[in-house]
Amino acid sequence: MDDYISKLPDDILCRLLSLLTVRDAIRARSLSTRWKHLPECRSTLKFNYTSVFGKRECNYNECQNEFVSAVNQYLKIWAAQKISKFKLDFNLTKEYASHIDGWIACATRKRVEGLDLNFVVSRAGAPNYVLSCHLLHSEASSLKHLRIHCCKLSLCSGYKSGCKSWLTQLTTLELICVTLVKNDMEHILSSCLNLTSLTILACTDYSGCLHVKLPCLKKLVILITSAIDIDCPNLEIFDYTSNLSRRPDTPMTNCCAKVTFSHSPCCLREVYLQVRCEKGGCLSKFVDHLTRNAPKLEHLFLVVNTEIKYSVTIKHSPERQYPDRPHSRLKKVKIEGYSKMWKGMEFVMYLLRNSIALEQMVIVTNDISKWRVPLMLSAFVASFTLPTPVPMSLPYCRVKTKLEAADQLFASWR
Amino acid sequence: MASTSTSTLSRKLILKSSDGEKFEVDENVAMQSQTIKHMIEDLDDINSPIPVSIVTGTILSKVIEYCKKHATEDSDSDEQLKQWDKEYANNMDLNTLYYLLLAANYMEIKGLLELITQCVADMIKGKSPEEIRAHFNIKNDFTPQEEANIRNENPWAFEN
Repeated sequence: MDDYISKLPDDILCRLLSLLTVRDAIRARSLSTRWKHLPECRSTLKFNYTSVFGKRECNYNECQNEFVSAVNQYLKIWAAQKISKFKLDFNLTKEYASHIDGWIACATRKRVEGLDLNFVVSRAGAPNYVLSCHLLHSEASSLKHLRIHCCKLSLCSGYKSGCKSWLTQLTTLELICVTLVKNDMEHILSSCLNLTSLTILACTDYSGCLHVKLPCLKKLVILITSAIDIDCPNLEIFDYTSNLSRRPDTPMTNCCAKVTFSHSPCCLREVYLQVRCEKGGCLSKFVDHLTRNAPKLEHLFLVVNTEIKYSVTIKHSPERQYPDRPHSRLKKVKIEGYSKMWKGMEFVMYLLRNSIALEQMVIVTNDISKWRVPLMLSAFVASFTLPTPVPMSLPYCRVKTKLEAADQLFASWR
Repeated sequence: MASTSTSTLSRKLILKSSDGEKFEVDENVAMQSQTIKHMIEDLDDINSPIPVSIVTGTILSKVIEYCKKHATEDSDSDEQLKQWDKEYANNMDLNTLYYLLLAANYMEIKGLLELITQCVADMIKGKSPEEIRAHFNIKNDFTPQEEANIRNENPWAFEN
């Protein structure tokens, strides 16, 4: 059998090499002179445990030195002119800062479009790497997507403001477990004028209110304890998780009251809310307000974490609490952790009555004390009046519960 | 007007392989090749055979099989199509894969080129240089010193 593969033209072989991990590509260079002389010019660089060590087993916390020198050695032979994506995924702390700085500077020089840096969780006590943003600044910056995980971010406030101009080019920004000083966060939230997607998860918390004023923003994913004010007229997807900490010293606050829309969210299509619930029905009010002001809303997904077992009898009739207003687009609603606590019953009824386009409603309960909920719901479903004009398809209500017995009860009650 | 559009849809082209074999295919099947697409634009008479100069009949029939599958879009889900691609690539021997790569590259069929390149890359993945050489029958033409030098450039990649 002939050696067919080595006869392939350079461009096909280079394409082939770029599909391999950096480790396998380096190994391929040692096959023969033909392979050695192929330029290593992949445009996507990925450095993580597998791409560097393969199936080797070494202690994740003890091979940083080896990992760092591997990346350095690889970059010496890497010859691409331009890089589309640089992805780093390894447990690296501040002591390797000079190397990491060098890699980021190299990527910026080669006009990187996507930078994805995950420093994983640092060893206990080891200080986090500090990403200094002057590394991202260049005359010909093409950075569009930035994702940072587990480090500190410094916007180089001492430098002249031109140093931050790269922010205006970003379209995607993800900050996960990132520590930064408050003014920097405010600065990011007001400077990234072309941002279409923003994720802020478990970053530094502030006592003040965060103002998100981004005209192009379409998707906002946020997990934060402080209050936020959203001024994003083009927002389509809103995913909000309030602080879910169960520490006893965390005060139970009105999580939903902390979210305000200073601009009516008229483009909103999908809403995901994961919140703690407290007495007083503020969640219902918040969601009600949201659905009324978001005429294009199609999907609503609520996860409610209830902490206090609290039993009430529903006294108010839903009609009194929520005046009717037909909602013509809402198609899917999912509610997890359903509880009477937040007066969800009235809210569910309100949605069932008014959402004339509703195709599916899923309610998930997993607590034995809540088996009564579907029963009570069915009582309302049986008696509620349809809005006029009568919709072509009746609302489809699916009640999912872990209790098989509930189904039987459900049937016998009817 | 309706009759014109119907005839455009079912327009046939004749592809002629390097060893003279002729294949009649629907235009939308052949148009997946950027090279053929450009050739048709310059062609006066679409009834004359289009030469696909470096591709033999055996390989061209395999290429057409791929293009036919991918020309009818709605019939299969993405999942089914991926499964079909996988089986298609797995049924080829190395010799055929090599000529298919050349053909896909020459005919500029992006999907086929990506599929076969990925298939060959999967054969290299995770193997030691010795295993790769054995698999593809690659001759090691380095002196021991040269080979040691390459390993010393990036020793991390060679430790098991």
